[in-house]
Amino acid sequence: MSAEPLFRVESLRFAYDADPVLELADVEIPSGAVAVLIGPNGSGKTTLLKLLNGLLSATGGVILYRGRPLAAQTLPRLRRESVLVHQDPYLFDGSVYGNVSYGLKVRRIPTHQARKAVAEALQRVGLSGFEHRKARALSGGERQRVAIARALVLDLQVLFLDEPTANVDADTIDLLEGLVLRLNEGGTTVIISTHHPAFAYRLGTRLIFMEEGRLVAGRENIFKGAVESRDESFTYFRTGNRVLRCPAQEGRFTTAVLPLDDVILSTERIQSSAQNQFHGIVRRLEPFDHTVRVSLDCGFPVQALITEYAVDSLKVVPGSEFYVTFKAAAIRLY
Amino acid sequence: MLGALGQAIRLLIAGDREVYFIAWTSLRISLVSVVIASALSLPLGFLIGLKRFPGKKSLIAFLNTLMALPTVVVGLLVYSFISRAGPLGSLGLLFSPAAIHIGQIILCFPLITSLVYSALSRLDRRLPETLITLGARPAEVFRMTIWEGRIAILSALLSGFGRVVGEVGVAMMLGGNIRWYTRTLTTAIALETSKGEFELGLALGIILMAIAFLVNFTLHGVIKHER
Repeated sequence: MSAEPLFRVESLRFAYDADPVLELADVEIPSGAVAVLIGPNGSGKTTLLKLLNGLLSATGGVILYRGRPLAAQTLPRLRRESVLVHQDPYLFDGSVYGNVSYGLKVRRIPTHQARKAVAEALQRVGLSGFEHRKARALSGGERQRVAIARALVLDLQVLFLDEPTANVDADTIDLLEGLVLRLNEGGTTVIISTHHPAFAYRLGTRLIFMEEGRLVAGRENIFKGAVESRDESFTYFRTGNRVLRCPAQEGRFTTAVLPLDDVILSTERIQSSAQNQFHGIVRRLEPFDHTVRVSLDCGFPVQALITEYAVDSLKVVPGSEFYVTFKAAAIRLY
Repeated sequence: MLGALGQAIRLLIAGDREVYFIAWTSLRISLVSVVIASALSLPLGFLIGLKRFPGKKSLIAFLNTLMALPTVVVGLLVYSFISRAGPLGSLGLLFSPAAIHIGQIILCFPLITSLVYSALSRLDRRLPETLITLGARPAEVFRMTIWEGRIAILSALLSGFGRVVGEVGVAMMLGGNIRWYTRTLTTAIALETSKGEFELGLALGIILMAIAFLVNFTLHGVIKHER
């Protein structure tokens, strides 16, 4: 990850008339991230995507792309390197080929090269041989795939996906997930808006929570890893070199989510129904929404929310050692 | 009426050179006027339909008002500019096809612009964003928007054609109904009617309708075929 973030947003403001739709403090999206904007409808996710893609201009504040503010001189580069795929995308009247090759055409790529690139892009979205089909006669999921192929064919640095999981079937969601992962392995930064939690938690390396046009802090630990084993009582989920006991359930999970306020700190081991207990060292304390967010290193990073009172009475300071306890039932697997 | 229809068919079959010439003059002058007007109307309709700018509402109201301009008023206005004594009199445009073009362009430009603007503003809002995000530059966004809206735009152009091919005020006042030069179907009809040749007038009217029908039919056929 390079030192300079791909995108940096500074006190961004966007308003249609007098009412601000979006008011964001600072946000950074590192290069190579899968950044996921999560929030309910109307929280400003789409607006933020369009601002980052330069389709809308901010009313106030700055967006830096590769360290330079978005402006007439820097927009062409962003245009070449990024594409936004709309929720329920607009397909041009005509063939699938005409749609997918469009960006190549405006980039003046020769036809023989374009043909090959289109065939490859269609293959990646599972629509091989669809070149001559009428784009608008396809199903919702297929249309979404054509729109994604239309972006993929351009060999992008940044892909914006606006609610890619809305109005599509489960197969397309699986395909999308695989695509995003492979793109990201190839170095493409992917910025997604969604209110599909599984999609967000599984894919996101950077989660940005939004509500009513503002950023809200995430209130969850997100552990990346894989299911190691399972028995009738638990699913054993490995993250780093530790194994978490999670509720018994079937599935190929990659992410365990634990709310910050479900984590208990204690000076001694405690006997309880809680199935997960680890020993850790306090690294950092920060004020968080009338409480204190404590970051610990337990062999994997864990954060807990505790009150000021608990901080004082337990003498929680950086470097002090604690037991971290949480219930298996508090963990959600995605 | 049947007599007029019979005469119209006889005139066409007999290959009356003058009738053909008059019909051709009408068609040619009207089509060229529409093409020139649309070169102005398409960009302006695109701007009004897709962009925000101050004074947009007033401009729309102004165009809508111009749509109601009586043809004789346009004829009179242009006449006052290009007649010998007018500011553009030295160009010698009066009673020429060019003079008819000027009048007809003024007549159909507001109509075509309004129809193009309303056609394009009904296009999907995601279209311009999709084009821009895929890397299209402004000229390409314009081209592709016109292409995606081509059916409604074609109707706009045909309405403009209908407005000019059937008008008599401009063609008469600015063209002067000069035989073998600026005589169009409408001015010929006016002339034959004033001479009492109702049947011939009506026959020419039927030919005019046939031309309008053919133009519509052909252009719609072209668009259908493209899809």
